Order: sequence, then structure tokens, then C-alpha cells
Amino acid sequence: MTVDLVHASKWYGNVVAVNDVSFTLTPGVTGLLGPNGAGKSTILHMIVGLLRPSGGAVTINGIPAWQHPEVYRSIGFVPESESVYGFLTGHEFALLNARLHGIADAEGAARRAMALVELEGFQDRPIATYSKGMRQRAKIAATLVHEPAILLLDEPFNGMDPKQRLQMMAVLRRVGDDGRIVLVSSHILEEVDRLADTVLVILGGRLAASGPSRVIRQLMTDRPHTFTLRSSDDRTLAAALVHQAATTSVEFVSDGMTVRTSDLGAFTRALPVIARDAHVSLLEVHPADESLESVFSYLVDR
Amino acid sequence: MLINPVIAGLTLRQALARKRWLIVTVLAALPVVMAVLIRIYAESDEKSLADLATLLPALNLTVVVPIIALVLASSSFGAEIEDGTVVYLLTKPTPRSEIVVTKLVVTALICMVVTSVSTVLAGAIAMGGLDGTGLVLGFGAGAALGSFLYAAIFLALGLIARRGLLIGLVYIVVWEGTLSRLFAGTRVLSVRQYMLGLADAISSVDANVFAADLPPAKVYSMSILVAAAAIALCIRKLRTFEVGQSS
Repeated sequence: MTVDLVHASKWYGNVVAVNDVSFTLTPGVTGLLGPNGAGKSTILHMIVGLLRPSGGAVTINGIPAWQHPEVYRSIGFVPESESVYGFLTGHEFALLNARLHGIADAEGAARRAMALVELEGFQDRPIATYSKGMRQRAKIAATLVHEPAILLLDEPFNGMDPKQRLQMMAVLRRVGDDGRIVLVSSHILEEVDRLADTVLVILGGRLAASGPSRVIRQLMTDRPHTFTLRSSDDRTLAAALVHQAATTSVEFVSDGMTVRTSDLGAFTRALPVIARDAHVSLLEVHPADESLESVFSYLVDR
Repeated sequence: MLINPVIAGLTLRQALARKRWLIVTVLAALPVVMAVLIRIYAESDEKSLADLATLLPALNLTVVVPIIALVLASSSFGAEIEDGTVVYLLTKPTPRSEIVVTKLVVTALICMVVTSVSTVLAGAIAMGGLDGTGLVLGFGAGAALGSFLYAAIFLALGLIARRGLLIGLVYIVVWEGTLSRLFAGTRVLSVRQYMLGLADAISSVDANVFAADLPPAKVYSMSILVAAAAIALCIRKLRTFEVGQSS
């Protein structure tokens, strides 16, 4: 099983949503990382055949899902939208999906899927009464009933609390370790980093970077970082910092100082030690540009 | 197989969810209440029949049939597209024609049963039994025909337009309610006229009491044409349906 995008583009009139994106998905968990509005959802919808590519080709085992409903036998898609048939119970929803896939033992498949996402205890309650996290898991169970070779999830962690997130990650890891292709979109670096073997970074409709998550994480951390510091004695601390190889510049600003470093890891490890040795108390340490936006723009500028 | 039993069950539950059944029941009960009034104040059978010949076309065929069809049909594609649940239906290895035909048959059947029962019951109450001319049965058959055609048209509308419910209402009031009565040329494109035509073809009532504008041959051929066009449009639209996502 492979999923292939070859120069895939999607535009709406003059607005380009996805611009000349090419990649191939292989078994395991792949993360689709990018800020909101980057085109992640559009890419997922093109793979699932819910949007027609304006240019290029999007295929599953060589066949486009667009206008080929038989391809859905091997695809499961979890949309971002929270709405489900609220009048159905979780079990009925999974059962409905199993029956629509024409599974012989639909009842058994629905029970297994609900157990996989750990919702057995709630499966006879209407979905309308579920919490956001439970709803997400019910949606995933419903798309796992036919054991698809390819599972695509659009922002599955939205609205989940940390515990639910970990639970969900474990579920997706299990599915990925099973030799299936799992593609998860997210705008949060940590989620993708913890979950995915491979990461695709999407920015402004383009594929900005791709590779093993270890490499992507390095790209994102091995870059100049800026911190805003406030301490009991800024000038003494500055003098001590300048002796560090990792420090590239120190600048005094109205309320403290701005320090730039080329090596995030070494700097963050050394800072408390330097401060202690210089007998200076750190009052405030602020990463100045940790927003995802700056990380992405850094990646794209390279 | 053209009818998918799983989708049929889902369509039925969707049609009755969110208190839609309440709206449908109230609308269907309206003519029955009016019929009771006719019965109470009845002077003669002729007068009651004439009252019915005014009431049933004006209330049942102009208001009850199209509104019930609109309410039920918009619960299928229209509401599903709006809240995004249509994705669960579309990402299945089900032929798109099977989805359309199942939804239409289920929606149309509910409408046809409800509206024809409402019409015939109202007529029977007003006349104290069925009339000898077959007018009440004619209106009942007309209601069933109209239900099917409106269900097909409104299903297609839900796939084409974002505000299907609103456009449907405007169509009922402006086209069916006003224009097709004023201009003879537009009558051939009015579901309301097909319903009246069928009632007239079935009944043997005197032309002073009730007469339709369209001859039976035109009613039959146009009904088939409209139904076929609406179904074909639904299938074509669903095959190339793009889920509105731009981010």
C-alpha cells in the first residue's frame, strides 16, 4: 500500500490552497505539521477523494480516490469536524460504519473497535452525551471497523486534555506499528514529534520540509534562539555569558537583556550554572521567539 | 441492489430527529382540523364537496405537501453537508447512485404516506365518508405524486445550494404559489399543477366544482421527466461532490 502525491495542487479561483506538493507515504505514523490554514486539511481531503486536485495526481496504490468509491475499502478518514450522528450511541455509530463497509461480522467489528479506543464502558450512551475527547475516540473507532490499511486523521487531538492525548497517541502508535499507513495532521510540534516516525512540514500550501522526526526536531532546535533575561545583576551576568561559546550576542534593553545563542541545548544547560557561579539570581527567562510561526519561517528561509 | 438498508435506516432516523416529526405531524393535522370545521358547519353534501375542492388544493397541495417534503428532504443531504456528517457516508465503498436512490425512496415514502393519509382523512371527515366522485381519493393520489416529486427536487437542491431550505421556501411561495397560477405558460413546469391534474384525471367531479389546467397526458409525461431529471442531477452532483474545505 502506498499513498502518492505527485505535484498535487489545489486552488479556489485565485487562491492557492496547496501548491505543487509531492510525497509518498509508507507504513508507520507520519505527521503533517503546519500552522492553521497551511493547507493540511486540503491535502488530507484530496487524498481521501473529497476534493478534486486542481493539478497533479493524488493516488492510493495508483488509483485516485476521487470518483472511485471502491478505494474506501482500504481507507479510514477521521474528519476534524466534531459533528457526528448525535442520536446514535457510540456502538451504533461504529456498527453503522461497519455495515456500510459490508463487513460480515459487523457487530464483532464494532465491539473490537470500541474496545481499541477504550470506550466499551460508554458504548451504549448516545454520542450527543459524550465529551470532546470521547467523541474523537468514537470517530476513530468508527473509521477503524474495517481495519483500513490507510488511516488519515485531521487534527485528532483538538479538544483533548493531556491524559486523553496520551491515550490517543498510544492508540495511533498501535495502529502504526501494525504496519498500516497513518497520517496525522496537527499544528502542534510536540504532538507530532512524540507520535510520528516521519514528519512533513506544510507552510503556505507548500511542503517546507520532510524527513524523520528526529531530523525535523533538530532543524527546529538547532537554530539561533533568543531569550529575554532579567536578573538581580544584569551586567555581571552578561559578562559571564559572553565567555560562553554558545552565546552569540547580548543586548541591554529597557527591562533586562536579550541574549542570542547558537546552541539551545548547551545554553539552557549552562545558564543556571553561570548565574550561580556569578552570584546572580535569575528573575525571569523568556524564550523570545518560540512561537510556531517563527520556527516555520526559519525552516522555510533556509 | 439499488436500495441500501443501512442508509435507509439512517435516513429514517435523521428524518425524525431534532423534532422534525413534530413539525410534520402538526402540518399533517392542519387539514384534518379544518375538515372537522367543515363537517360541523355542513349545510349540504354539495356545499361540503365544494368547500373541500377549495380547501385541499389550497392547504394540502400548496402548503402541507411541499413543506413536509422540504423539511424531510433537507434533513438528508442539506443538513448533513452543513454539519459535515456527510463525510461518513461519502467515504464508504457505496455506489453514489445507491446513496441517492435510497435517500429518495425513504424520504419520498414517508412524505407520500403522511400527506396522502392527511388528505384522504380530511376529505373523509368533511364528507362523512368517501365522496361518490372520487375527488378525495384524487387529491390523495395527487398529494402522493407531489410528495415524490418535491422530495426529489429538494434532495437535489440540498446538494446544489448551501441554503437549500431557504431557497426551497422561496421556490414554494414564489414559483409554485404565485407565478404558476398567474401565467399559463409556466403551469407545465409546476408540481402543484401536476397534483391538480392527477386529481382531476382520477375524479369524475363536475367541472364547476373542480377542474385542473393540465391534461392527464402532460401530467404523466412531465412528472416522469421532472423525477428523472432530479434523480440524475442528484447522482451527478454526489459523484463530483467536494467537501468545502479551504484550509
